[in-house]
Amino acid sequence: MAILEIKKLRKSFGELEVLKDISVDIEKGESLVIIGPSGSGKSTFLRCLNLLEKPTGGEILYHGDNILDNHFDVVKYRRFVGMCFQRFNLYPFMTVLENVEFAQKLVIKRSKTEAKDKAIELLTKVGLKDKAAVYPNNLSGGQQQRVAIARALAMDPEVMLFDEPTSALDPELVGEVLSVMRNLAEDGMTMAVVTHEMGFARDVADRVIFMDEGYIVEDGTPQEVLMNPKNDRTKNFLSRVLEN
Amino acid sequence: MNVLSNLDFATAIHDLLPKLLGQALSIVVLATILGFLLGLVFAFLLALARISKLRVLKKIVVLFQELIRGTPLLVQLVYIYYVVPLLIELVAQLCGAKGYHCHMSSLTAGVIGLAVNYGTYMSEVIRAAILSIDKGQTEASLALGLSPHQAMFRIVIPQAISSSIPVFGNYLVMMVKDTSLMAYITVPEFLLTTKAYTSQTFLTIESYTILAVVYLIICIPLSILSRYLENRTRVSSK
Ligand SMILES: Nc1ncnc2c1ncn2[C@@H]1O[C@H](COP(=O)(O)OP(=O)(O)OP(=O)(O)O)[C@@H](O)[C@H]1O
Ligand SMILES: [Mg+2]
Repeated sequence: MAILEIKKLRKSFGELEVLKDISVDIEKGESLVIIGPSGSGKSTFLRCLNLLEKPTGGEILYHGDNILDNHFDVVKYRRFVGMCFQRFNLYPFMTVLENVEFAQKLVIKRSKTEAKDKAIELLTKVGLKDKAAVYPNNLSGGQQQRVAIARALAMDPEVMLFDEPTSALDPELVGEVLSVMRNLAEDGMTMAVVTHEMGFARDVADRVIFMDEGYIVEDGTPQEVLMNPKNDRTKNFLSRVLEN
Repeated sequence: MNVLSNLDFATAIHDLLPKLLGQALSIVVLATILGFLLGLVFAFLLALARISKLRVLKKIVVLFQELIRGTPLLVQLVYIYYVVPLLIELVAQLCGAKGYHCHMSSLTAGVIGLAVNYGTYMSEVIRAAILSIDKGQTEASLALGLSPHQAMFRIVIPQAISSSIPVFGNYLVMMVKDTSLMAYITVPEFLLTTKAYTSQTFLTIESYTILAVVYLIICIPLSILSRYLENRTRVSSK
């Protein structure tokens, strides 16, 4: 069954219509990779899924409940939809450990020891247990992004959203973040990932969608979308991306 | 030579300095600490009102800020000490409470004046600091399931405060100096104490020189401290 069903989603910023008609289901355990040119609305789409942006039309069903309904408890919902940002957004005034503990204690009301145990477990998973006492500014970008992943996972999300998690990183740091994400996908996490890393899309994605000008232009397995695109716009985009 | 030999610093130091470092100092310290703390609280309330979504509240606060920034602190002190009690009595009379007498001590009026004036200026510092915190901090917090209120009070405001601390330091030094304005509304702080002493002894040069030195001795270390804090926050925010 689909965790999220997105139906005819629309989003405008004033006059500018960024998402025009987006319909897609995100199934449990699925890794969905979203590709597309700059400005095509990929970030906006992800941000609509946890309501950082308020859609202007359509429906988003979470286990069948419309999250755009006025009675829907958005704050409670967001906990189940983890998000990692291009620029990490770690809390600079907290240590790595505190970053991962903080929302657990505040939002889920976990005890000190529960939160700490969970944080240590996740930091170990992303390979940063020995950095627990360090402040984020003293970490490399790749390390910061891995902490951000651990921080999001600490809320036990059902879905993880990644918005270009590696595009602010030096090339040599991209691999460590992708490998954490790859492990996550192998563990069965449901993920929606916006990325320009075609290798990741090919190897990890169950499904790839190509977005352009607010529409989903192509939707299929990595094999179908990346190797045999039907649409000319997809072909164009891929040839440009693969050149670099 | 003759003129210089008339100077009598020894007497002035002997008589005036204990007065300055006694009652006058305790009044300056008390007024500064109370005025500053109340000012901070007031500044926070104004800043939160300005960034709230309540249009009317925002307008009222902006108007109030213009009022305070458009008038001198000295005039505000005089107004609070001499006029506000009369206004309160007037209102009390209008409400039917005849013969109500409102008394406000000069020190109370001084502290309120300093708090309101500095609070107004510091509210803009706080507001700017809040607005300068990266939007990503709020977004990451919301994405983790914090309420907008929690994101503001647990994540944004603590960072805004720590980035404003050096500026607050400067305001503290300024406030120490501005306590001298309270002399005009009869608060026996440094200036009024010195003035009273010179009118008895005519040791004008000596007394006011001592007064200036006392201010310097208090303010220079405070300035150095606030500059130190400024450098430290600048380094740690890199
Ligand atoms: N808050 C906003 N207000 C106004 N316009 C916005 C806002 N956010 C995004 N846009 C516009 O919406 C369009 C789509 O933006 P979006 O960030 O979703 O694209 P994207 O596919 O993620 O691009 P990129 O690959 O560059 O990240 C752009 O034209 C952008 O300028
Ligand atoms: Mg984007």
